[in-house]
Amino acid sequence: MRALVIEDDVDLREQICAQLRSDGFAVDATGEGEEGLFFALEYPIDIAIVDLGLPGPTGLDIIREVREAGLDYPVLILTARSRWQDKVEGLETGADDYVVKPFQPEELTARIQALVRRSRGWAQPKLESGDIVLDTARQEVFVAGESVELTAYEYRVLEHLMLHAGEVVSKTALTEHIYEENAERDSNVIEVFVRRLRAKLDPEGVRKPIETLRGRGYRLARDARTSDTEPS
Amino acid sequence: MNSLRARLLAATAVLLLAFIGLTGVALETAVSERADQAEHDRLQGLSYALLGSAEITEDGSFKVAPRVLPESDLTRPDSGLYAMVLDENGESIWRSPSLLDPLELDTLPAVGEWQFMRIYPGDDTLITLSFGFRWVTDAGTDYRYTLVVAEDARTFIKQMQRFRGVLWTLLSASALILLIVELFILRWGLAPLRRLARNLANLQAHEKRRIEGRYPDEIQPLVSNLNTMLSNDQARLTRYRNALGDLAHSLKTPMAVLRGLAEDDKLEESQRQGLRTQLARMNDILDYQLQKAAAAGKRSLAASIAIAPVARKLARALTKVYAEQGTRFEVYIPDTVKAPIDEGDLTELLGTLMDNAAKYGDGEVEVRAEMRDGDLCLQIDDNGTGFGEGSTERLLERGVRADTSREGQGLGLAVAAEIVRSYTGDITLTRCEKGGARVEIVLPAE
Repeated sequence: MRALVIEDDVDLREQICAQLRSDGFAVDATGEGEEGLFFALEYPIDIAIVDLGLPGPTGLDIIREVREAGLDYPVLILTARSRWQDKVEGLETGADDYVVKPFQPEELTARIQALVRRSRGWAQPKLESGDIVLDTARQEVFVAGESVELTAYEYRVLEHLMLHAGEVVSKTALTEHIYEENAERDSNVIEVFVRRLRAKLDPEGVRKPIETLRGRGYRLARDARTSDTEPS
Repeated sequence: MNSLRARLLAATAVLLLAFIGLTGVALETAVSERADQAEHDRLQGLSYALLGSAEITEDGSFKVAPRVLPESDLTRPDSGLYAMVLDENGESIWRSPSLLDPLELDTLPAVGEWQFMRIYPGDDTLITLSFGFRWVTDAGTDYRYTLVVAEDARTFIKQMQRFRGVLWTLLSASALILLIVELFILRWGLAPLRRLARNLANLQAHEKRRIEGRYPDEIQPLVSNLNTMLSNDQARLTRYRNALGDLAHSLKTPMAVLRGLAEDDKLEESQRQGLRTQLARMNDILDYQLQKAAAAGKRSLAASIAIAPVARKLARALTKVYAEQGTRFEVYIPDTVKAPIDEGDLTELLGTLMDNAAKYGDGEVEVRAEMRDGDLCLQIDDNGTGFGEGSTERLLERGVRADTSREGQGLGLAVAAEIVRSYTGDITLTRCEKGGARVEIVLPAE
């Protein structure tokens, strides 16, 4: 998952970024409204965390531009102003949720993960596909009830595929959503991650959870998305 | 006498009556003097005519042949026009045929003098003119006489009475007409003030903060100043709130950093706990004081705003925030419900209470509002377990939480109570029919 953080306070930005990375996100961050707006419009973002009190284009301006450009990824506003008028204004402009400073780090994580999940149509924190279960809250993966150890990048690839279950995900899209903008990229690495994932999720090679569509990308079966309708 | 119109009308009426009264008296005096003068002149003319046709014998007797009398009325008995001559002892020596009994005069004029006076024999009033003179006969005897001519004043008095009647009737009529005209002048002259009062009332009924229209030069400065005050009032509140917002921003961002540092694994758990508690306390104090400071409270000439749009806006925003829990926000407020409350305060009040209801309820929040005798009544219900046993009053005090396990939530009700108090209203925590918590608020119209 790729997150954009726009927060002008350096310390707070670093903290949020560190926290998001440890939660399995690829994070792009900036303190400039102008740059933030550019990132928000140009990068393949899965969620944006925007501070309302930015210099230059304000958080509200950025959200408005994002929505006017037809982008519908979730936006979480960070605000120091606890007045309802400010919060309502942000939500009416197009934000999906807010967190008031100072916040508990876990609360921020929970809100962000809920927003990402909901934006992909998942109602609860456990993503399921066949006998594969991915717990976004604890960042744990189970296959047929057995815990499976994944590296950070393997986890990101699986999470992305599961959130887009049933859809064809290109190698480029995968690269963009698991790497930050200034990271070294090599799309061949994706093939390596997918191969390792297959080995870990399906050691016997019987279920074949991840399909390869030559020249187009990968697809994870969407068979288990019935869990949408029944609350756990 | 509290109305400008009554004051002006009373003053004008007094002034008008005094003016009309004095005018009447002056006119009457002038006319009556003029009439006296005319009578005096007529009687003087008659006296000269009598003297011209008189004959004085050597023995001093005074004679006028009846056929040469200058007025025929002098010959007809009791005609109303009389003449007589007195000798130096005041004894009547000649009377015109019209005069049956001699006239009694208290004083007589000196020689060569005229005396004009009224006498009242019996029920009559006579106007008399007396003239004292000497007569030297051819033989050289010197006689002293007094000629008295008199006329019955009945006609004169009747004429004066008619004149007076006409005079006072006309003056009263004109006074009445002037008063009626004055009424219209006052109505017209004070019309801008009535318009101003109407516009001031409109100011509270509608959502605008300006007195419209052009007023006379005397009131325009007042209107301009009021408009300036109204817009400054709004601008100052906005500026003030922005300043508070900036203060919150500049304090809370570092607090957020500190809060993040409190999660650092390198610190002892007890130290982290201490940091968290103190930060939460700081945050509560800051929030409470900032919210309290930002409340506009009751203001004069505040515009009435519709309650429903604000509640619906909040319901839309909160539906997003509580999407995870699927909380439903129902707003049952007629569009006609309006109250002179600041929009920021109303948003804060409803936002805080609806958020609280969503947090402690079980997926359903209902907001109602109605006007009761001009007072605004708000009611926010949830379907949770209510406020629990014990005193609910304590919850309205600053910083007391019904559920201490959730951070910083006790402030909500205290902030709401603070806003309600700034409008001299009442807030009550009860239980709704379904068993959930109910917050009832009454904001008085005046």
